[in-house]
Amino acid sequence: MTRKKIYRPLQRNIVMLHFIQGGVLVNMDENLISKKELLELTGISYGQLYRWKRKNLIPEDWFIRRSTFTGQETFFPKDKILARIDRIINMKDDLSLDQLADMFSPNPAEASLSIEELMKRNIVSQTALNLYLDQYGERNIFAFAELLSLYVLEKLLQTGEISLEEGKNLIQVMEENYKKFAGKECELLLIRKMGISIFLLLSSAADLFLETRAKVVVRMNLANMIEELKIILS
Amino acid sequence: MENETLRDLKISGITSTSGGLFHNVRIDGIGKVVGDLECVDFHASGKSNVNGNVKTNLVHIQGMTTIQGNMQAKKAVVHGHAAIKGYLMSDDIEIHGSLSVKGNCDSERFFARGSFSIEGLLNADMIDVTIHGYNRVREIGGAVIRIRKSPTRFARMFKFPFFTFSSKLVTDSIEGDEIVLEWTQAKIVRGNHITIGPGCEIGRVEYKNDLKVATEAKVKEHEKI
Repeated sequence: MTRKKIYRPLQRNIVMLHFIQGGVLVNMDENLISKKELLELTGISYGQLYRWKRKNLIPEDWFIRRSTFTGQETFFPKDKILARIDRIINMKDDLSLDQLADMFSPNPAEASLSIEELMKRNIVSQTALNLYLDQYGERNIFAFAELLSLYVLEKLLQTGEISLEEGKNLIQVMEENYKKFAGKECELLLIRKMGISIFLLLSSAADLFLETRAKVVVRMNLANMIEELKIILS
Repeated sequence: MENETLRDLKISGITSTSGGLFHNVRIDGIGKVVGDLECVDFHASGKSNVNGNVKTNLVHIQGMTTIQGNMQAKKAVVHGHAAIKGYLMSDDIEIHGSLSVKGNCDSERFFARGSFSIEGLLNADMIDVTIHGYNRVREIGGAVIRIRKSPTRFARMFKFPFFTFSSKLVTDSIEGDEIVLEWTQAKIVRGNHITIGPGCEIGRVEYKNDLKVATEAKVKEHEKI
């Protein structure tokens, strides 16, 4: 009996640890790549990897520490890190590391665009823009947060995943709540059940379980959207 | 930062004050700062305690300083003893006294002639350490890592090895492009060009280009990748 008592908290701790690391561990389907393989595959050196980490080009929570038979090893989510390193290597000649860090950070950029600029650069279609203006009244200048809602709206309308009516709800949820998530990894979800749709904003990667008839229609990482938008704007 | 409009903060006796935005901060007595401190120049000679984060251009610590939060500085020089309860981020770190950091320690250049203990990752482009005393780091990563040891003056004078035994660097892993180690205890060392000198106890070495091991070093296993 006494033995059980000693071990129970320990077991709980182990479970807890899995949850804490969870951000990535939960997504077990995501394949991982070890640091060694990563360096071999991409041809970068330890010095570069650590420099990029230091400059926040690679977020801290992509470094997943696991024990292997040779001791502690660091793993990365494979698709994310390969895409990121590819982008860094391609862009590091044009931009400084600090500028790159700004681009990859989930923090909103200091940017604003006028309507003419938006249409000219073809960032947003007329339909999406009209929908937005209907909801929030006429305006000429868009700040970054508003551009982001517009961009996401445009994206989802174009893939046909949402209807115009749902688009209104999307704008509302983005405008009202996105500020609370500023600077954090955040996901946008659209869940539909029997014709009723609900938008959700989730901070970081959480596990989600739904009843059988409900369906996740859209699951979108807003940090990626921010990154894309920043690239378009710059 | 507009330097003209910012005031200096000077503590010479025993005082407690609140933080804020300053030009030069100088603590000579026993000072306590409550709140975050942002300044151009932070100079602590007495015993000081900052109950918050510190963000500054140049920090110079000669006495005993405890920072309960994080520290960000362009250049950090420690001659006395500094304890940082958060992370330390700086372009240039120089240690002549002793430093202890609870979180990670990020720097372009890390130069140590004193002792230090870092409970997170020591991440710097150029790490140059001369071992004095017992140093503990959880992980080390960077481009060039050099850890050497010169015997203390006292020990050198008497050729007495006792004082040199206890001083070493203990870490879990070291990863870098060019690594030179002496008197280091590590579970794993990974890199391209690795030189392992006397007094080292290494569990496993994984190297890409070349490895040199001194006869006085203990390396359990090594593998070329």
